[in-house]
Amino acid sequence: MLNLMKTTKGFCGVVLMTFLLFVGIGADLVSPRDPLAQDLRARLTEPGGVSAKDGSTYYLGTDPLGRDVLSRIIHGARISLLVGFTAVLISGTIGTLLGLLSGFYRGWLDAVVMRVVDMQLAMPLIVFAIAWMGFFGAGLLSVVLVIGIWGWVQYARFTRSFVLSIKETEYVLASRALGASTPTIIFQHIAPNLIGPVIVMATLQMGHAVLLESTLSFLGVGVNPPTPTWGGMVADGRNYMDTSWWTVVLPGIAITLFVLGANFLGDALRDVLDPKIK
Amino acid sequence: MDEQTDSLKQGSAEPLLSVRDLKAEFHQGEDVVHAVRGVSFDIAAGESLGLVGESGSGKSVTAMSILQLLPYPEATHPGGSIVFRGQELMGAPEKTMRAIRGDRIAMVFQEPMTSMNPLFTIGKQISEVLIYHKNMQKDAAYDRTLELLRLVGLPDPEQRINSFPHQLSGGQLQRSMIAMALANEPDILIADEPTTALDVTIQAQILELIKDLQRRFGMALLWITHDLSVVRKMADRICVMSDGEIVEHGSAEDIFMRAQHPYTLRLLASEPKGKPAKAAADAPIIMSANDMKVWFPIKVGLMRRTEGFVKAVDGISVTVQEGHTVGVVGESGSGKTTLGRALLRLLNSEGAIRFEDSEIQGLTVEEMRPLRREMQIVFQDPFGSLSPRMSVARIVGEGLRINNIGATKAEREEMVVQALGEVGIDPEGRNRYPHEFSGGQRQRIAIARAMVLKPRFVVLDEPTSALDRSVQAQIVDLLRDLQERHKLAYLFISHDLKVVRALSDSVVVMKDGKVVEAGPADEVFDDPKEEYTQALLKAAFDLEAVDTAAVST
Repeated sequence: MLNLMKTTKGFCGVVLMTFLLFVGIGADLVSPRDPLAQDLRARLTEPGGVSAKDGSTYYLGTDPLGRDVLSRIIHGARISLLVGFTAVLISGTIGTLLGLLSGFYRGWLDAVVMRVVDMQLAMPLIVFAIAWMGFFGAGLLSVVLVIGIWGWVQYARFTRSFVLSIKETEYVLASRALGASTPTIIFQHIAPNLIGPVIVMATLQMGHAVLLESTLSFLGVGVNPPTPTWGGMVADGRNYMDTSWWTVVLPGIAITLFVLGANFLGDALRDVLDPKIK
Repeated sequence: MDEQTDSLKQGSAEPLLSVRDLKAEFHQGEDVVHAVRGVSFDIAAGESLGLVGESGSGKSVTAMSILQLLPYPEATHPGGSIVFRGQELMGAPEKTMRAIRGDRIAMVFQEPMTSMNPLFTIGKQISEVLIYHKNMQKDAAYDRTLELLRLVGLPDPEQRINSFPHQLSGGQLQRSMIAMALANEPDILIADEPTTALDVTIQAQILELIKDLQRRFGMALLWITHDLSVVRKMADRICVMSDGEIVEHGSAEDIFMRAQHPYTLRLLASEPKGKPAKAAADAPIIMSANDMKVWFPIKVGLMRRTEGFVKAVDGISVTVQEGHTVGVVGESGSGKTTLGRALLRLLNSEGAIRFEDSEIQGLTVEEMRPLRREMQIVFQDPFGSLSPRMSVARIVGEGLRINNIGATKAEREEMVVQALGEVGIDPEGRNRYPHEFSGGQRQRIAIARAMVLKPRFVVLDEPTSALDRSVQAQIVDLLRDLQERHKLAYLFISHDLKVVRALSDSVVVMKDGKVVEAGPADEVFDDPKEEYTQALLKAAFDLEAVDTAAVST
């Protein structure tokens, strides 16, 4: 952790992600208003504008339905974090496991897994997402599952190639010569080498997952309204962009900060976990 | 060419290249590595200077400094001067350096495989040098390239000029690299371990080629190597480097006959020597294989049809007795590593394999497991064979845990301590990680990992090849000592005939998966019957190339 904070990038990553984590968890305490409460008289109030109802300030303005943008961004952080963590957990687990097995055992399993990977890579995510929502209906759970299932290919490919190279090292051969069984080799020699790179990848993918969630919500096949999500907010505000920039730009900045934070953290983790740099 | 030789000789009163108090440092964050700490030497026209030292002595950095090819700005020169024909090269503008590099001073590197661009034919790469430095027309450059390839003795130059690097062997590529270096008839050729990656027979050919070319072109030669016998053959004068400094210099004769400095003496004394351990001639047979075959199928096409086989081991019989060492020698690709691994059943093979009294060919992985502790292996690369994520104690103790040896953790710990002590590693350091140890120490740890199980048979797969000469000798002594103490049976695989001679009772000479010659070590070394063995021995011990069809190019 201390090593992580040494570089500017690592420091920014840790600070940004910790900040967003606290905001997301403590959304109910931090946000000044109810993110769902509408006030049509105050619709599209500029940032810094005052509520006619109780005289309080809308620090970041309001959206087309008069909902407080600041509160919605704060609550949106919770959804983004939830989607990011769970989706990455799902895709990371499936992908790493399948990649590990197919890389280690090769043969038919490898052939099947890799062909599925190829097929999935040939299909656009949006088509997949829309088809999924058509069958199972939209909603938070669907979004998490779609992104989680979508992401596994990256992990599978990466883990497989990594396992292939470690499997051929002399220390694995030496371990076989000592009489080690397959589980011993996998858990003692291969898995410890995987943990670092997979964590790094998961961090980077988290930013990607949030971006996907925003895309899906923007297209209307994501989390159902009125639940506040950053992507959904951009979608709601886009018709008013020429007059009320804050409805689009501010949630956009939130997305950017999250993805940037995740990428910084991932890059810094990569440097810290690489034994060659130590 | 003769004219040029003459013109060069006129200027030989003044040194061609003069290096004075050269220093080079590498900076990484806060750390500074002083790679070269004040090195001075001169090279006269037409002279050969040898720069000898072990890995990390700064010899390559010195050579790269001359051409200003270090990775600046991480590397800096806090002092010194390099004067070439009256021109200061230290800090010279890039444009000046470009005109000198590859034109007046050329360099040949260790790894011919990575020194050429895989995307262009060798003809194109060599003629590019001519076009760039000499402004030659394309056709003229092509003709000159062909002439150069003929000069360096590349077989079939008309065909090979259009070959890509991967289509040539290591020796052929090194010949092409030399042709490229000679393209502009340089004043100085810097050769940085140009034969280290090559087989001994090829090494002998390349050494003779460079010597011959040097005579014909009258160029000066700066020869960088760790191998004393190579430098003895190649250099008029020798500088011995250690820890970034030249500790001794003199004529080749002075260095080899009247060396003064303790480091030089140690280097000279580090040639592998000694005799194999004495063992009873009627000792029981530990491991034997009869007509062993390891064929790797070559599969092609979508249906993975088997098109043919790579016969890595093709009908080899070998017997190892208790306390004896069988040396397996051969050049790269001869199948010796495959043989060792197949004997341990780490690779599938055909043919009978007997270990002590039981047939182990065809046993399943499960059935082999209880036998694993009796037969062990030590690999060539002490950096690749130890897991970077395990402490030394865990690495050495792995076999104990796997085979359930030792009742308690404390008992196993005791065994690890003992094994480390036996190979000369301070057991106090057992909780440190492999990267904190030197190459020689790591190889000792790898040996301890095998020895802690008290095996009967050990395959030693080039265990000394990645190590410096002085460390090699220590490892050979250690292996011999362990063998005597535990009556171990060794299969010692190596391309280094000097080391094999110091350790083996009997020798198997392999080529293309087959045995060329086998027998007691004294007989094979002193009175080789086969032409190939004779050429191999001549190349290894006298560095002389024998013109015979038995060796490749």
